[in-house]
Amino acid sequence: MFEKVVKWSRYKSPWVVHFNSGSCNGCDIEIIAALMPRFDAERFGVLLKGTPRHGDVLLVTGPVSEQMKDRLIKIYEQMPEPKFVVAFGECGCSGAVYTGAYNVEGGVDKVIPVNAYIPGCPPKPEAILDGIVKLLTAFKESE
Amino acid sequence: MADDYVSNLTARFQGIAKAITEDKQAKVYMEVPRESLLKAVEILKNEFDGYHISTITVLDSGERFELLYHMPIGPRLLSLRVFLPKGDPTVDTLTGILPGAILYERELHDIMGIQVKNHPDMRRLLLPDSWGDKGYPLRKDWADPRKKEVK
Amino acid sequence: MAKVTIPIGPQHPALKEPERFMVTVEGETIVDADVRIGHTHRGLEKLFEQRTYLQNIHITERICGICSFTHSTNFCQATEYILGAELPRRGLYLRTLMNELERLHSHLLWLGVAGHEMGFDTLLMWSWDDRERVLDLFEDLTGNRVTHAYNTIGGVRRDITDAQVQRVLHTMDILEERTKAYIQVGLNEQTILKRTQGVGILTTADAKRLCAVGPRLRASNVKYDVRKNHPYAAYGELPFDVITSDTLDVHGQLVVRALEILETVKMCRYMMQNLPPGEIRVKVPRKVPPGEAISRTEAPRGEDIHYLRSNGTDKPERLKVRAPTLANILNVAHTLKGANIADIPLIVAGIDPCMGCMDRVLILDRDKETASVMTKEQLREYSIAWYEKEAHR
Repeated sequence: MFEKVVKWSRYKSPWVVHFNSGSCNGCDIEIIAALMPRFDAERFGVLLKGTPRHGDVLLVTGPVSEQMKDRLIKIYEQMPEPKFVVAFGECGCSGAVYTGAYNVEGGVDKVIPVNAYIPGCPPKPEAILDGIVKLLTAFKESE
Repeated sequence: MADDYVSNLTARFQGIAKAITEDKQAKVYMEVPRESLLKAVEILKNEFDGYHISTITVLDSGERFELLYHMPIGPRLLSLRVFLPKGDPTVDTLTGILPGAILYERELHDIMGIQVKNHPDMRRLLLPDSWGDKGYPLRKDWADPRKKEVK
Repeated sequence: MAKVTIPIGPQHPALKEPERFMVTVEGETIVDADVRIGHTHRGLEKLFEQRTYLQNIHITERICGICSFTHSTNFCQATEYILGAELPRRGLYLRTLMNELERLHSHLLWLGVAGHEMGFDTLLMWSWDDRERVLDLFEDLTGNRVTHAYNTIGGVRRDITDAQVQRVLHTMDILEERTKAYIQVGLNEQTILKRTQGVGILTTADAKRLCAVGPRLRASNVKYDVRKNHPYAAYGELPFDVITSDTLDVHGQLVVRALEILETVKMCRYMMQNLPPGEIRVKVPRKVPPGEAISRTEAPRGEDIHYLRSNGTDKPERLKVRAPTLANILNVAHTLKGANIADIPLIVAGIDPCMGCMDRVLILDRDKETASVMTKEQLREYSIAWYEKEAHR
């Protein structure tokens, strides 16, 4: 019974932890733009939370620079199960234009497991909303 | 007035600068030997109101290293060019005259291995502490020790 | 208060990860500050040497997502200087227009971020909504909101229609009116005044000594702007004033940026009303003959400088980039000393840092001999609460 309540509340209001692993900030500002009145992701119940210990979704931007790699792993480990990782933007998906640079891993899935990829450089706020809806549907269906 | 720019510099840096050239965008390049770098910067600061250093570029030119100190002087951008032998890549710190050079000098060491003498705080600037002794990445003979790059 | 050196060894949990900001405090006052960077170091300068000039335009655009156009402009200009390419005036105007639109979106972004740090989220909502109008223009003129693929070596890639010119002018009218309202708020709203006046004071002498750039420099009363002092693109033809402030503080930086928005509106209007006819680009060869060039722009955050060395191939020999935020790190560390912990967010935000989020601050308390870490959100809430308790400053 309790399990169902917890799942329902996660479906209604996913708490998103945002992590910048060395991005150019292009993706990060579009994430914030998605929370602004024009796109208003908050009406889907999405809340950007600072602490990984309360997070459901880890939203990662950037190609994972060498300096940020360990911190990303640590934050991932601090999140309680079940957790979902979203690689946001081309860099998060594959390293994008930085592929081959000496100080990048080249994609989030080189460091931690990834559940969803949102491509774009950067993805438009509409893509974020689309991604969220798909994620919420996945929550609901993960019986 | 701008026409006198190069001739004024040439006159003042007689015996100090090896060559002074300008390009089509009116950028000026002044080559000085390593030993005269501090003196040249002192003169630029005290007599030409040179207080700003935009950055320091370092190149691996094969036989030697090349440093360029970019400073807006008057209406133009002046770049001091200094060559360092590969076997002895040392240069004096400018921080006694231009405190604003402190981070740029750390970068010279971090990515190219230039030794900056008497630098007050030579820590890594860009590379992670975990870099260890993987070398100086901007050198031409440096190769990424990880797996081959994805093209 | 007695100053004591506390040996905090490598085994201390707070020091396991190097923080970006480390401050040492006595009570509420910061006595020492250190800033670490490198978190977004990707190794781009090495990558530039392994990519063609055309590919490098796309990489330079992504050095920073907020000042992306200024970096691609600098790179294209440096390459054009070596090639001796003479751009048509229309191409220069359009490139300049994009640079100014970028300044608009960047300054509005900053206004919102500064408002958020002060707990003034209404300002964040308003300014970012206005910013959306600029992003609409970007999408209209280039096809994308954030990175544009608009610059090329030899000019720009897309022309502008008369209808688009009208849309630009219309947006300028709206933004001018909105910015004038923000200026009124900025000059009169008590929350803003309390949090920014007298905070983060950088004297003119220190600003020059520490090689500050951009609105931070001009708010310390130094009249230097690359667009005016070393004009590039079409700036030599445009009527505009360089904005300075003599209050030397974060409030001065707010005023400078707000008034710069009005100057940008003036410039965009002028460019749209005086757009030269003709071509937007010239053809250039794929290989660049051996040479060197330096290009500087006034990015929204300050002086951005690119040095390029070419070697006769289709790939650069060396491209060195010094983005504006690096030049302002020194003065942030300097102005943090003597400030209150509660002033950290605004002093850091003041320079409009382009280095990813400041996500945590390590606070070393000398008297209590403790080390603690505050996340950005915790620091923000701490600062808002602290200022609400303060009856006056």
